[in-house]
Amino acid sequence: MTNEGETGQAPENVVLCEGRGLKQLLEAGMAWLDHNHQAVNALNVFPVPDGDTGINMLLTMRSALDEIADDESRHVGKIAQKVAHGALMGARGNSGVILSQIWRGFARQIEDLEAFGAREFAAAMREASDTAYKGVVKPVEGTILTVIRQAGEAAETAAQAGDDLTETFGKVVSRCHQAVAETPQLLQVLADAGVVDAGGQGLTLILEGMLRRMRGETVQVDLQLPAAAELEGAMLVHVAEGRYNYDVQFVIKGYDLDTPVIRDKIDSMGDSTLVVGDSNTIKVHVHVDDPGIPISYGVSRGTLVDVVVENMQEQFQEFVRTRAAAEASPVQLLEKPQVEPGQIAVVAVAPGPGLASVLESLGVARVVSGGQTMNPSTEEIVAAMEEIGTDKIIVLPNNKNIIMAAKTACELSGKQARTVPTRTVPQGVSAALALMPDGDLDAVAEAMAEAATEVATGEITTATRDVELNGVKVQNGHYLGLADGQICFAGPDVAEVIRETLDRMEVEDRELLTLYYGTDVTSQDANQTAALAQEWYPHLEVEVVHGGQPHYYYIMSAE
Amino acid sequence: MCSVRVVTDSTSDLPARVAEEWGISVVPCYVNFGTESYLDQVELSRPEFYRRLASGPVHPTTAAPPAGVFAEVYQGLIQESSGIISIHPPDHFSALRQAAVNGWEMAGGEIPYLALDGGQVSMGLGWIALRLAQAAAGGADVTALEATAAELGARVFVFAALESVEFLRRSGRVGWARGTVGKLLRVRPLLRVHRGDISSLGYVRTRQAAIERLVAQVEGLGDVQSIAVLHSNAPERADEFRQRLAHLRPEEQVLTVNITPVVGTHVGPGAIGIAVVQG
Repeated sequence: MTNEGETGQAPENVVLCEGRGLKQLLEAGMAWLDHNHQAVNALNVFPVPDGDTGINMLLTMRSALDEIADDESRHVGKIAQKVAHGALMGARGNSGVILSQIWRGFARQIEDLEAFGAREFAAAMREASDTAYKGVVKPVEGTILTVIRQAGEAAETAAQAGDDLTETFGKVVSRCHQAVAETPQLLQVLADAGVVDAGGQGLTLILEGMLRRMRGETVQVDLQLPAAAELEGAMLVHVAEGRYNYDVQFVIKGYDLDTPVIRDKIDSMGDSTLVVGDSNTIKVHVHVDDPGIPISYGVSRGTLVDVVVENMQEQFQEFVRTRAAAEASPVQLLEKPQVEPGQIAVVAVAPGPGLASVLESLGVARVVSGGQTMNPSTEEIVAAMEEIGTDKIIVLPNNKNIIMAAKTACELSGKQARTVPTRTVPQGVSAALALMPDGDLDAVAEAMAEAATEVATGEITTATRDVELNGVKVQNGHYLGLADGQICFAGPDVAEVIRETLDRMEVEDRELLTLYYGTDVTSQDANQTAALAQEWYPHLEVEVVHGGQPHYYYIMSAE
Repeated sequence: MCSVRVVTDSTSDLPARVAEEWGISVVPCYVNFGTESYLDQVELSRPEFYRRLASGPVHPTTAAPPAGVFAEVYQGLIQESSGIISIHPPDHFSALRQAAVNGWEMAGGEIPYLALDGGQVSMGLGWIALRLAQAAAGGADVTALEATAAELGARVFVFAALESVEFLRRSGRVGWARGTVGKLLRVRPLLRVHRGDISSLGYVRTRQAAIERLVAQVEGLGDVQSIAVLHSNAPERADEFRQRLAHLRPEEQVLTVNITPVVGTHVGPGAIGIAVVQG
């Protein structure tokens, strides 16, 4: 940025942004998203362990910035191109893919520019929006798409009013906040779930981080999310994680409790402090590194009840751990299918080693590990495609949140590749069975897509929060059943949830039930469940298979 | 003026009354359980065979009849025929045609003789044998019948759905069945026999899907002239399948056969299939 020194302080407004400036802005955007990504993760429509939008967008940004880590080029167009490429290759989850499309459009518009000003920025935002929309087959309003479109419109309006880039950016960000706040009005599922759109929120955070950098504000310390994002009913309790590891909540019961004194004391221990109540009962919420400190203090003031300590890093660590474990999986019992040049090979995504083995046993040439809470990047899918010695590839994403990454991978691979948009592992298994390696690529892809529709999928997991969806009251911690991706039943008794889910899958009219059991289920438990299913539906052939997937006790397939 | 006679073996699955009506000689194969040997359909009924296949401790083997058995059959025909066409399963699956050729040398006839690789099994072979016998009755000679057999070979298809890959894998005769498919998950292979080649049509998981896929295969051929429903001891499922084919051919015109142990050993019990002549 022309007005900005190497110190990174930019007290004066910015008029032009060149390569290094953009890099700094993007770093700030990523840092801001990083600090707030868990708040974005919490904006999950379904109360299930699902692809985490915050993490997906963060990893996408990280891949984008890795691409320019050693690049100090002044040419903003070249920097932007590299960023777009990195984002594209590292895109994870649908929101990550759309984010990568946004950078792609942005970069294309400023390709030849040494530096951009407000007008060029506005045009680039508009192009970013157009590209993002084109990347989605059926664009849905009330999502990140709406937010980028409004951002583009705000940029154009602001740029017409003046050439101050900071001011233009400021207007863009404030319009983004407004657009995010309005997403539940545009998309019923968001309203039902009581959340705003996570992808839109993630994009807003990135742009906001960039704006903060332009204004010389810090992105390095935790701050509350701006008021505009604090929507009523939105899941924005964990607004500013990052620096501290533990989320501590408790209630102090006592007498003559001095709320302002306790609030000051608690606030000095960490951040995101919330201390409310009266002289007899005080609710405390704080983020700290040592949960013992606020709890010990609380005990000194009265009796503690409802103590909850959550490790906020755990989810991310678990994500990393699960991926590492999946990658280092020793399960290699079966020989890999051999593919001849000219034949059609399949790349599939599987969330567990058992499911990976099943897919390989059906002739899938490469399995990319990933699934509900660990979406693989576009690059990982491309890498798997490139390992195979044929140029005809069919990709089975086996998860609704991986379909876009799979499609992008097909476009980028340079091979004749098709995505058969399987949304569940059972659909992927059905599709894999219809593979005819020597057939015509389009005809085989079509037959596989057709086969995928012939199976009903059930999933049994644990609810991650309270919500009412599809007329089902879901309580945090209860078992939750989904039939073909839709929540259908929740309750404390796992057998009842399984039975209701099977009922919703219409197994009455089916012939074969397969139970893929996850890491939290023993084979004995799985066999007992199978025996129950056999009792409930005597006509069914029931099969029990080790799936090894995390979070989901059972993935069930009815055919 | 006597005509050319058609000889086949019991792997053709031709029903006895059909063979008799058209003067087709059917040489029985042997089925061995350990050291016990039975003549197919003469000494061991097919239901009994499949019962022992499914439950017995000994996996059966099948064997071509010795050349002498063919020689006897041929000798019985030489006097009353203007030639003999002997048609058998593909050479790379069975030694039947070789046994037939050796039998002819032993019989030492002077009339024209041809032993053909029919490229088919079960009623796929049966339909070809029947058509040849019908053409022979119309006066066709051995040379003309050889051309007819070649032309029919292109139009006869067998499609089948097996209960598992296990028997096919154990038999070792089909390359694509050697992989890992079906080792972790129950799958039902679909296959096609055409011109001596057994190819995979992929896999399904349920019996219902198997039937639908077989029907789609047959419909894909366009017009079909003759249909036989095949099963390895699964008469009820064969009935269900035949009903599902009613739009292609009235049920009473569809032959149903419990397939030869020679094939049954390799596909296992519970399989269903269809042998058709394309129109």
